[in-house]
This record gives sequence, C-alpha cells and structure tokens, in this order.
Amino acid sequence: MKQLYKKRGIEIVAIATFVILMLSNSCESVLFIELEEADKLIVVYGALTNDSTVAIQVSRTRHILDNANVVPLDKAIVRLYQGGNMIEELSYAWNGFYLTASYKPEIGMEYIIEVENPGYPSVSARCDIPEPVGIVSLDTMTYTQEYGDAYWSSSETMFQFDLTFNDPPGVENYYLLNVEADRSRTEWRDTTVVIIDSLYYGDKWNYYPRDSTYTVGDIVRFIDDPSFGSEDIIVEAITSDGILFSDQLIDGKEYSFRGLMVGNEILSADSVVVDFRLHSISESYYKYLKSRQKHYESKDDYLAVPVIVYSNVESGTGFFGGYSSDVTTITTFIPEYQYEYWYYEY
Amino acid sequence: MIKSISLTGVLFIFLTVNLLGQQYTLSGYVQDVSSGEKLIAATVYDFQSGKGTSANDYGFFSLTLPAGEINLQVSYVGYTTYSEVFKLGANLSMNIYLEPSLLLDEVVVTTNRPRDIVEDAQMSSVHISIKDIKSIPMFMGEADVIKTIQLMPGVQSGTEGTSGIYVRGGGPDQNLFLLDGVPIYNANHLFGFFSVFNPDAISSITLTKGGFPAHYGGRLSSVVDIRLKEGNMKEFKGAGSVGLIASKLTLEGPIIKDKTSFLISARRTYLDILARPIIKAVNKQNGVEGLSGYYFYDVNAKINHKFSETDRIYLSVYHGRDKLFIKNEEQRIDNDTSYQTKSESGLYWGNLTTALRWNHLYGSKLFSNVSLIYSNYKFNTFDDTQTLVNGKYDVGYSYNYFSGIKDIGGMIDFDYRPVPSHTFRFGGKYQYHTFSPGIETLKSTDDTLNLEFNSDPIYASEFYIYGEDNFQLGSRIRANVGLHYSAFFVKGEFYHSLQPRFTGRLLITPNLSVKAAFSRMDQYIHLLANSTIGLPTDIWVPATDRTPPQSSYQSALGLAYNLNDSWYFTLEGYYKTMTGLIDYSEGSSFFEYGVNWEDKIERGGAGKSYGLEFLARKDVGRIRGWIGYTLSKAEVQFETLNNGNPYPYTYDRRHDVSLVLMYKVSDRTDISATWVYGTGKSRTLAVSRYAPDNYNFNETEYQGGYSYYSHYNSEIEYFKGKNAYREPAYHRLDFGINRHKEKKWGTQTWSFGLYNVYNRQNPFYLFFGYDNYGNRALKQMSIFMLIPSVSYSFEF
Repeated sequence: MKQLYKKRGIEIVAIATFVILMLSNSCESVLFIELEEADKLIVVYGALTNDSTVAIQVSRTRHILDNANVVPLDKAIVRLYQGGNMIEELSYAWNGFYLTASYKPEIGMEYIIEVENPGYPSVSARCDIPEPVGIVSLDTMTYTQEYGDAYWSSSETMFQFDLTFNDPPGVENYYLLNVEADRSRTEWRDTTVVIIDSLYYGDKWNYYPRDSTYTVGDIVRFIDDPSFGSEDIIVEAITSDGILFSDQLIDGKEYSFRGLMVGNEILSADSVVVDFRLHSISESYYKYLKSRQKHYESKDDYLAVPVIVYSNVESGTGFFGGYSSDVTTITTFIPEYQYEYWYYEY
Repeated sequence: MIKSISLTGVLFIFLTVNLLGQQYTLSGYVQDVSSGEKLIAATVYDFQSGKGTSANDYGFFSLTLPAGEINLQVSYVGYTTYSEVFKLGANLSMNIYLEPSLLLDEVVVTTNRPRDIVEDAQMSSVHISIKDIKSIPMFMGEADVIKTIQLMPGVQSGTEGTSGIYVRGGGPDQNLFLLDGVPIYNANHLFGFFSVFNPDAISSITLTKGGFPAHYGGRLSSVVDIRLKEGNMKEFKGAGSVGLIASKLTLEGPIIKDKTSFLISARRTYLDILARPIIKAVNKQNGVEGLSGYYFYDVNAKINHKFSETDRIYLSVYHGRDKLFIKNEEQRIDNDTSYQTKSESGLYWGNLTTALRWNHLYGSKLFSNVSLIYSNYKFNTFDDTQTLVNGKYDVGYSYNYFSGIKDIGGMIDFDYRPVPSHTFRFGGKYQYHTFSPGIETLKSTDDTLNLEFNSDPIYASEFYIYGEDNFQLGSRIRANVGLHYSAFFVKGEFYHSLQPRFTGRLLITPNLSVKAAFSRMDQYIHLLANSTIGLPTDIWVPATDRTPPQSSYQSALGLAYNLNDSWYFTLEGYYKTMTGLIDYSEGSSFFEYGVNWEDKIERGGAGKSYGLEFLARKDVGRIRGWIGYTLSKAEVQFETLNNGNPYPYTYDRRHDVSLVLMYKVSDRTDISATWVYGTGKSRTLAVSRYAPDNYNFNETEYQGGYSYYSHYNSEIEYFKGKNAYREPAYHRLDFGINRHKEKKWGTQTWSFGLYNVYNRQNPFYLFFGYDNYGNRALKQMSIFMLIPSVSYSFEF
C-alpha cells in the first residue's frame, strides 16, 4: 500500500510539473493590433529673433507604423501676422523652410503664424521675442585633470568658464547657452588645412565638403563646435542646441554660470575664435527644447514614462517661439600645442 | 447641517434616558456554537420593543431595553436564528451561541441579507463571504480574496491576472488593507498574480468604497477590513489544500478549552522545488553551474485568551515573503590562473505584521479595544558577485536596492451603546513610520568602493482621533455621523485635517431605502507606481515638506431594494475629487541610479471621478450570484504633465461588467462561472512621428553611405496625449466545479477550473516591433489564455 501511495505521489508530482511547464509555455502569445490611421498634422517650427529674417520650417507627421521618411511640405501657405496685420506671406526656399524677404521681427511684439496646406488641418501659433539679457563678464581658466589609479594614469587639459549675467527681476526668464567655434574667423597657421566636417560613422571615417568651394585634400582637421558640460545647479537640460535653464532659482540676481569643456576642443596652435552666446528664449521655445531632450533620452527605455514633446501649435504640432541673444567672443591659442591630424586615404 | 443632526442626536439620548421608565442592559457576545468564533455584525433584536442592535467587530453587543418581557431574536447569515422570550428585571450578561444552519439551501442566506442591505445606514459597502471566495472559479486553483473583490461594482482589476484593485477612480495606493487592524502595504504575491490573504485563516472581509465611517482613515478610495479567525475554542480542527502551484494548511484548536485557542495557517508555492532538477539539468547542458527559482510563502498565527467575561487578549502575526533568485557559478583558466566567479542576484519582498489586542468590557455598555501594532514591509533587490583567483577570494562587488516601511504604534477604540438607538464609537491611533524609499548601495569587499544613495530614512509620526454615532431617528432614518481628525508630522512639516463623515438612509418602504453619503479622506503616504502590474518596485513614500498629502471629497447617493428577501438591488452614483496626487515625471524611470525619488515626481495633481454602480445580487438558494455594472469616468490633471491638460486615469474604465453565478447541483457538487468585461485600459502610445526642428530632410535619404543623423532616432514620436490610446476591451469567462465528499475524518473537495474558457487574448502589454516583412507593427502580448486548474482541499 505504501508503495502504491509513493508511486501515486510520484505520478502526481510528474503530472503537476508537466502541467506547470505546459502552462508557462502556452499562456503567452503575441498578437498584431490594428492601429487606426492617425490624423495627419502640419508640423511647424519657427524661432524668431530680432537680428534675422524669419525662417519657418514646415513638414508633416507620418503614421507611426509607416516606414517612409518624414518629408517637408513645400506647397504650404505660410503667413506671418503682427498686431492683427499680416506682415508677409513667406516664400518657400528649401528643406521645408519658408522665409520672409527682408522682414526682421522686433523685440516685445506678439507674432502669429498661420500655415495652410490642402489635406491637413490649418494651424496657427503665437509668440513674442523676449528682451535680451546681457553678459556681464566671462572669466576663463585652464587646468590639468588627472585620471587613473595605481595601474594607469592619464590627464587632459580642461577649459573652465564663468559667464556672469543679471537676471531681470519679477519676470520669468528662460535661457539657452551655447558655445560656437567660428570657423570663418579662425586663423590657420597651417594654410594647407582643408576645412571639412567629418564623422566616424559605421566602421569608417566619412567626410563631405562643408563648402563647395573647397576640395578634399590629404589632410583633414576635425573641427566642430565644442561640446561642453556643466554641473551648475541651475542646469535643467543639456541639449544638442546648448544648455537650458530658467531663472527659477536665480530670479533677479546676478549669477555666474560655470561651464566646462575638454581643452583640445578649442585649444590649438591655430587661433580659434569662440563665441559664447546667451540666448534669452521664450517659454514655448524652452518647453519644446526641454521636452525634446527628455523625449530622446527616454525613447528607448521601456521602463520610462513616455515624454510628450511640448507644442504650442494649435491643431498641429511643433513650436513657434522667439529669442534674443548677447554674445561674448574669445580667441584661444596655445603656441606649444601639437597639431593633430587625421589622415584620410582614398 | 451635520452639526444640527448631531445636536438632535444628543438631545434624543438625553430625552430617551431620562423620560423612559426603568431600563436594563442586555449585553454579551454572539458566537458560533461549534468553534466559539465571534460573529461580527450579528443582529440582535427585541420584537417586543422593536429595538435592536448589531454585534461589533469583536462580536460584542449591548442593548438597553425597558424592563419586562423580551422577545429576543439573534440572527446571522448562514446560522439558525436564536429566539428566546424572557423577563428582563436586571442588567443581564449573556453569550449567545448560534448554530450553523441545517436548513435547505433555498432559505439559507450566505452573505448579505437583503433586508439588512436596505436597513443599514452604511452605503457603498459590501461583505465578502469566504464561502463565495471558495465557490467561484479559481485562478490556478488558488482561492483569492482580492480577485473576488474585483468582481464588485466600482472595483476594477489591474492588468490581466493581477490582484490590484482600483476603486472608484482611485489608485492602488488609495486602498487600505487592514489585517486584524494592521495595514498591509503590499498585498501581492507572485508579482501581483495572487494576494497575500489566505482565505482559510480569514473570518470576515468588508469592503468600503465610500461613506467611510469615522473610525477609518488614511486612504482616499477604499478600506478592505479583513479579520482573521480567532481559533476554535471547542475542538481541534484543520483545513488545507494542494493546488498546482501552492499548498496550504490551517490548524486551529483550544489550548485550554473555552479559555485559550490558537490558529496557525501556512501556505507555500513549490514551483521552485518542482522545477529545480529541470533547471539544473538545463544549466548543466549549457555548461553553467547554477540555479534559479521563485517561491512565496505566508504564515498567519493567532492566539486568543479569555481572562474573564470582561477581558480577552489576542496576539496575531502575519508574515509573508516572495523571493526570486538566480545563482550562477562559472570557472575559467587563463595563463595557468584559475578564475571562479560566483554570482547571486534576485529580489525579495514581504510583510511582517503583529497585533496585540486587549478587549475590555466596562460594565455592560462600554466596550474597549486597545491594540499595539507593528508592521514591517521590505523590498530588496540584490546582485552579489565574488571572484576566486586560484581558489583565493579576490575582490567582490555587491549592489543592493532597498525600500520599505516600518510602523510601530498603538490604537484604542471604544464602543458605547447607551440606548438602542445610538451606538457611539470613538478612539484614536498613533503610528511612528520609518520610510526607506529607495536606498541604494554599491560596495566592494576590499572597501575601495562604498557608495550609498538616498541612505537617510524618513521618520514620520501619524495620529488620528475620531468619534461617530450610528443612530436611529424615528422609524425611517438611520445615519452614521462622525468626525475624524488626523495629523502627520514629517521633516519639520505638520499636516493635519478635520474630516467630516456621513452616511445615512431614509426608509421609503420596508423594502426600499434611499441612501446618501459624504466623506473627506486624507492620505499621508503615496505610492510611486512604476508599473501597472503591482510589481514590488512600486515604492511607498511619505508626504514630506516638498510633497504634500493627498485629499479627497466623495459624495454618493443611492437606492437599495429588497425583493422577496432573496434578491437585493443597489444603485449608487458617486462623485469624487482628489488633490495632492503625485506621478512620475515624464521620462523618469525606476532604474535611475542615484536619483532621489523626490526629484523624479510631479506634485499637486488633481483628479475627479464619477460614475454609476448597479448591483443585483442573490445570496439565498441553490442558485446564487450577482450582476454588477459600473459606468464611470476618472481623469487627472497635473500642471506639468500632458501640457497641463486633464487626461484619463490609467484605469479609467467606461464600462465594467461582472457576472457571477454559483449553482449547487447537489450536496456533493456545485458549479460556478464568472464573466467579466471592461473597456480597454488607457495608455500613452505614439500614433505618429515627425521631424524635429532644423531637420535636414535631404540627408535622411541614402547619400553615398552617409547620413548626418541616425534619422529614426532624431525623429519625435507624436502622442495624441497622455493615456489617450485605448487598449482593446478586456473580457473573460471562467468556469469552476467543486466535488465534495464526506469522509470519516471530515470533508474533501476536488476543485476543477477553467480560466479564460473561450481563450480570449486580452492585452497584458503593447509594444512596437516588426512583422515578417520588416515593417513596424504594434503588437500585443497576451498571457493566460485557457488555463485549466485542479486543486484538492480538505477539512476535518
């Protein structure tokens, strides 16, 4: 009898194991779901500034499951209004950009953009250009950063800057700070240098001429806008357009913003002209850049809460904002600096 | 209005006590004759005077009646009514023992008596019977308390198969689970597929969705009050079951007959044990020494001692734990050096709760309960790696993520019944919380690495006091009016609130009543829910100086109707507003190393939910069951989310239907079926994509192997809004059959079940992938298609 019970017990355990294994394999399935056609929307981008003509980029949305490329709309009607009056119907130029002929917007005025394109809901958006905030001073210094431990060591020259500005009190201000190497004003010691942009992409260096007047030579110098970082407490996002912050913590105060970049990005034997641009940007521009950055950062993280990119475009998407800028320029140069070449072989 | 009603009540007591003639008080406990178990909410009624009362949470009653002849009836669902006619000439203490009914099923009410539903002042509340829990179809052979609660109108389930509840548009953190009065923070086993409550150890379950009495507090949306059995005072009894994934055993009996009893109930899964040889074999085949597994267990224990007719103490303990582990061992030899790497990673979580209670009777009208409570909830993720070089220990690393809450406190409750028409309850509670919301450590064995993030616990004190009166005004009006004052002290911040509570009924006819309720609730803790399936990664966090508490106002109006003492119908409408809600910020993720939780949330959310609930229920006869339907809407709004616009709550469900049918075919066989339907969950899903600003459209085309952007990644996904997409509707039919057999030693039951009979592929989650032609596609992962189950249970 005991043996019978034992045998039955083994049978029960075997069956249970089989059932569990069967269940764990059979209780999952993947099903395709129809996703109904989303409304096609006009996408509008425009960042107005007082020292440039107006450029509005217009494109359209694509269904999320559509494999085709996103494309610009080149037959849209784009009208710019100020104070209820139409200023100009913008002309199509290229790459989805519509431009004013010569009109430059003014600080403090409210502008409205309207875009129509057959087959899409018409869109509109409004913005103004905030007052510029001046740079009071820019202090720079370099120092050597040591890395390593008992087994290895390394060092590099760091370039630190403190940019001081006065935040206007009582109003909400939003800022975008970026640093640009101005190639047009760079004085090249080695006159054989051919300026091209290059990028290590895939498994090889690729290149293309920046300007058609140049031809590709045998020496390639990698020069790009220097990337920089900051651990300053007011930083809210580091985007490809620059560092983004608001005056939430510094309203009405004089503030020195500290940034840092790797020295070899701007220090060289050539005389490199570097512009520090403090843009005072509209709220819509700020919200767009901030949410766009978060969107990119979280896009492939399945555990992250999805980020909806901000838009102030009614019945469409994109943003319409404004900015004004103050610029401080410095020239960097290290006589002893060794050239670094990348050789390109055909 | 509330003030005037209370004043009227006080005046009424005064007049009643002083103007009526000689009165005496009849008091005692209502108990099960065979086990001595207290019968909570048993009805005690004198037909002579037309006055009655009900037993409290400890089975105690007190009824003050005029001297003279008494025609007493004591009744409780599922038990034979006790009747006695006698003369009352002095205060009388008597314990009343009821016998389980042996009447035909046609006349035995099993859960809620329709008459009581109509006459009770309380609305938006339902008692869940253990018998129903064991009768309805079971998921994988495990009877589950929360899955039965999910079948009630106004209560929505979470993701497929899980045990979360979402009540009247509230979040999962807004439900207070009380086990013998002690809060349970994580009520889930197996990633939410089972709840921690073992039905074999439970005596009663009450769900309250609105019209909260003043003695409840601390959560916005519901209270699930679960009372454990006390342990049989008369004889040794046992029950147990063997299921596909778990087995359980409950033993109870007297330690000293009629004086001291015990109950112990334990449950454990054995998936890890059954699968161990298979996992080992598979690992061996792959050249890895390793083991992985998952298990959960829980234990309920209780001792109950009666010192005298006026003093009893209860000590109850609950402990449960889930553990998932992966152990690996790898060896390699490199340049004559042997390297052996041992690693162990996994996660575990669980609750430990303890309550020591003392019941004391002061005279015959005042009853008190004093409790000391302790609760400790832990969640831990670990990853330890240790390397041995030539057999000697080299540097090892360990990563640990810990979150938890520890509570210690005390409470006192009084139950005072001066006259039959008034039952006063008053008392208070103090709790000292220690929150550890996401402590991360990264250490090496040689101390070269020793990092800790968010290592400071948050300490908080919470207390409340309350008073309520459940009173009768004339023959038609009964109400429960109360005030609840609560306070929370944390990080130098003091939050407090005064919360009025009201629930009442007006009897239109003996079988029809109109009910209304209003309550304000405040909640000083939040749940940071990262997932929608009740993962233990959800973190409990306190209100702090930066994050204020949650608050709600709820109003409800309804009808209750009794049809021939066999069916009852309720129709309730509710409107609830909530403030102080929190949510994860857009882009934030649970796995953000070193980021404090307060830096990844949005505060100040406001929500509103409203709806209509209908319930038709029959708890008498061979065919029992209910139909529940909810029409509702729930939305929330945060200034910083969804461009500041309101959006649907994740579990906003327009239509929700539950059909439950239980049929007793014979004394040996009963069958049951449930069907549920719910509007699809709302979720945030990209529907389009578009270019960012300054996009170079020309460069997205193939240009001699060069693309300036990795163009897909630079595109932006377009969402119509947060939670703007509706998943496909959810529906499912389950079927169960129980076969009982009387044995010499007791009763055995074989339960067979079919989960998701028609194999509906309900969404578990959605994701973007590719079809066979490389085109992007939206896919749905479904789990738990048709699942058969079998379990064997016994009672002796």
